[in-house]
Amino acid sequence: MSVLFCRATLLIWLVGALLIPTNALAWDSGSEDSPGPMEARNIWGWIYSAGPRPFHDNEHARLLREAIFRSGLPLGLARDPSDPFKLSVYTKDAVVPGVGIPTVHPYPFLAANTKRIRAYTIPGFAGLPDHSYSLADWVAGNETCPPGTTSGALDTAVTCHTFQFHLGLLNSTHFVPQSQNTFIYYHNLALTRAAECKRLSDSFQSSPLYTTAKSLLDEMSTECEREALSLEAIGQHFLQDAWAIGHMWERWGYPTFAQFPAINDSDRRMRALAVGLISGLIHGAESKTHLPDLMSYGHSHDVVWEKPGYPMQPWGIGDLHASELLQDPQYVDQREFFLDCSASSLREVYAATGMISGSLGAAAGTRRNPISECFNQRATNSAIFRGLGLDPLLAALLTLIARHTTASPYGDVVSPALGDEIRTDLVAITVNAALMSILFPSETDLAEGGLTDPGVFVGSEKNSATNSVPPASYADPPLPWPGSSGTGTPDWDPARWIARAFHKAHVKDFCSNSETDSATLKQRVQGASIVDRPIACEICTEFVSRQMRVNGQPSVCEAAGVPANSFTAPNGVSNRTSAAADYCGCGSHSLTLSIRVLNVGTYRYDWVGGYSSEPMGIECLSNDRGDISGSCSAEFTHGSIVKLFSTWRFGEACGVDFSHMRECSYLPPNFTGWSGDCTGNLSFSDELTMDKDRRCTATFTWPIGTP
Amino acid sequence: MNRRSWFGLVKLILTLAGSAATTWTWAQATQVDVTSQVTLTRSGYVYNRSTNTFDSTVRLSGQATSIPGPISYVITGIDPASVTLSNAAGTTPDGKPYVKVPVAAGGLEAGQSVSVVVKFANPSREKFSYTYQVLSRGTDIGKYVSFGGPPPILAELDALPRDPDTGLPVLIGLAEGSLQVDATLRDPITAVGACTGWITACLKPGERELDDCARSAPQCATNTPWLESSACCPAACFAQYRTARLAGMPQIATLMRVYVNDGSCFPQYKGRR
Repeated sequence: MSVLFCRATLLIWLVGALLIPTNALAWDSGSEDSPGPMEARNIWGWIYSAGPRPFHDNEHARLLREAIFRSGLPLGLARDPSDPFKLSVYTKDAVVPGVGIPTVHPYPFLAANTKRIRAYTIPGFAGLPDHSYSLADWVAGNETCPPGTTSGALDTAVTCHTFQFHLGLLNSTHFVPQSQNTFIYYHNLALTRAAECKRLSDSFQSSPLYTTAKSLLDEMSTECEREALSLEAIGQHFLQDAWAIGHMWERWGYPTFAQFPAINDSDRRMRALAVGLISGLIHGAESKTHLPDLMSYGHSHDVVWEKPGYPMQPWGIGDLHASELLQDPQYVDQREFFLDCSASSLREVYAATGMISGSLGAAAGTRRNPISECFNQRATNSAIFRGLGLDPLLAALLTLIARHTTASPYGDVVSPALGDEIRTDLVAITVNAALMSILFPSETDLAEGGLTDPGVFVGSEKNSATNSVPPASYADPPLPWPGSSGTGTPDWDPARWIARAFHKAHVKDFCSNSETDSATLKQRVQGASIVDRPIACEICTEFVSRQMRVNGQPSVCEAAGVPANSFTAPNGVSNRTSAAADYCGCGSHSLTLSIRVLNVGTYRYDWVGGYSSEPMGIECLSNDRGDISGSCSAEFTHGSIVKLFSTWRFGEACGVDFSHMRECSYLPPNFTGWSGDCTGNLSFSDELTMDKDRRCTATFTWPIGTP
Repeated sequence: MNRRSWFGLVKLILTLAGSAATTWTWAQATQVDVTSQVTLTRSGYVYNRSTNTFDSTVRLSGQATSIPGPISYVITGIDPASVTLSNAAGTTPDGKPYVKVPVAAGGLEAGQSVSVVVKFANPSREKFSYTYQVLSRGTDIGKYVSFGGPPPILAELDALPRDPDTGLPVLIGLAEGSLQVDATLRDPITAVGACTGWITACLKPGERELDDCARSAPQCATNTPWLESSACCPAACFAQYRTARLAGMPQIATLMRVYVNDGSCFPQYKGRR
């Protein structure tokens, strides 16, 4: 390859860069209109996307969903954002400072005064590391800056979560080999949690309580399994990155600002920026230019990857081209190896659980060891040089200009000495890359830290130099959660935050925890204000009910294997929730929902309608003929505010096969109205105060003339 | 400078940088100009009755790197022309007289000094002066190849979006800042970029090897190569390159060390730390 060709490469790249605005994102983050706390309110899976709404996935979610299909995991675990899993998070009725939206940060149970529902999908969590620093960070609503992620006193929860700060400057963990150690860490967290889930479900199933409270106990077990798979999904982000050719090389830099050697904060920010920009230049900026990128776009004999023991150097492709990866025969090698790695890892985790979410089916493809077989692919020298797309003279003419924006409030100025250092190192990279790509195009020296000698660029080391497990100090903490070490602080207590959010999954942990001590919870209800009382009651009832023995059966906590702290409900009280509410001084009332379907004809429709409640409890469904299923009656804490939301599902003709979705039409009946204690419209009822037992009826009528 | 004239300058710089295809006379010979690699002191002239010549002792000291021998002290011009070198050992291919510098077979080591006497016949006893060049005729690396230099990159730069504050083309940006192309830059780093850009563009395995390209790069005429009108490499760089290559150093490592990482052959270039 001559450098005449290299200049041609440059030409293509520059044409590709035409649309880069001065404040452009460099990488494929998808939409980031409202980074930070606002973005954490989205359902993962509707962000980081490259297709038309509403059925597009972010690429990471799509790849994980494909892997779930291959792995034999229950298909329900691959559910999409239209039907997400939900967490009930007790928090504080307050807004995020400076952002003005309600906080979702898990608050101590003894002080929380409101509840938020957090929706998530397991495939969607594969996209999480591009928007949050950890699961705990997402659980906390991206409302705090994890240690090491601020570059100075002016950073806020928004700026420290801005994609450009995170991926642009601190995403060394998304490139090999740090991506491998990050994956290993999360995969092991997932396995550890999965094993705990199995112990929990085994304990439940061996308890006499299981015969009468199966759905309640299974709900806790399945939330535990979903938590384990969420950790695996986060880890799989890094496995997926390792299989995007733009990430198959060692970039320089670190996951926290503090690790960048510098003389002061400003110098540190500028060095991190320079490293991020050049790493992005090699990786590509197609997410913003919307034009083919030289490396991630693939489609070139120069863009190939090498894997020890693999008999050929296949064409490579990367970010924003998941569709080609999954469908184009040109990328079959990359696709099959990657999906085998991903599916094998998922299967390993799910097999370690009690598999309450469903049985494990047969796996397709080849079984791979995700740790030893799936991270040693590297981009070739020719691919790296193509990604760089510079020649030495142009490298020498590049100058780093700092900007002063709301996202970068510091007003930094690049010192002449640093500017010269950057240009000098850029020339070195470019000359080296040009020579290596011309003389040894099929080797992988550049990807293995050989871009610079001695592996340092603008003072930052190649990422293998600081590759601990995990490489980032803000990774989720070691299990168990919430743990008893008390290492957390009020400002940074990630183990406790995650446990609070997944509190059903952590039923054992909260059976013997000062935060959920029954007497203290009861005391809090007694002292609560009128405003706080409903949530205080709900929390008290939730946790006390787990400790309550009724009908001569063990408590949930005893069934979970925690014998301490349980007590027996008074004679005559047979309902666990009612008994707990009574203990807490809250009591409860029933809400019973009826669904009437009028003018039913003989023809079967696919329509299945119904309502679910907030707080959870009612999941009442009716088919087109008015046959009722699900939970149509539930107990709610005295004084709580209940609202019913319309739900619908596809009928039998549609099934769960999404490929049929477009062909599946249904004709809904008309909503006639509410009767009984409820008012409202088709979509939701008005708020209903549960100060007594309530009955509501939703009526639907098929149009006259419907066959 | 307004935008139009500024960019005109950019175009000029890059066009010139990209069109460097000069064939250099010195490179066609088997000798390499190592003048900048020696420290040279000349004594005053002493009239020698026995030879009827005006003699001067020239002392050459090796600098940072060794210079392979044999070494010649070439008189490239005498003013007035009526004065001639009387103890010439021969002439160069282009007819310049020279004397041999008495160095060992290994050449002139760094820090080593040698002296040579030059004798001028000056029948009219006029005031005169001369220019000189120190040439090394050690074992050569590579062969001379003809290469027209890399193509210009103007059209692409012109198409890049501009930073509203600086007016410069933006190559890639983040919220905190961006890398912009300041084609008006002319300093030692751009000199390194232009030189190495020429060499890497020249490289074409099987046709033009790296040694060939390093040897054939246009030679800078001044000690401020970044101000020269076309891409060039200081003669000292190839001399160092050749020495290292002859010592067995691999070609890529040599080029990176001599031309980029150390870079002491480029005037005022600080190199990489």
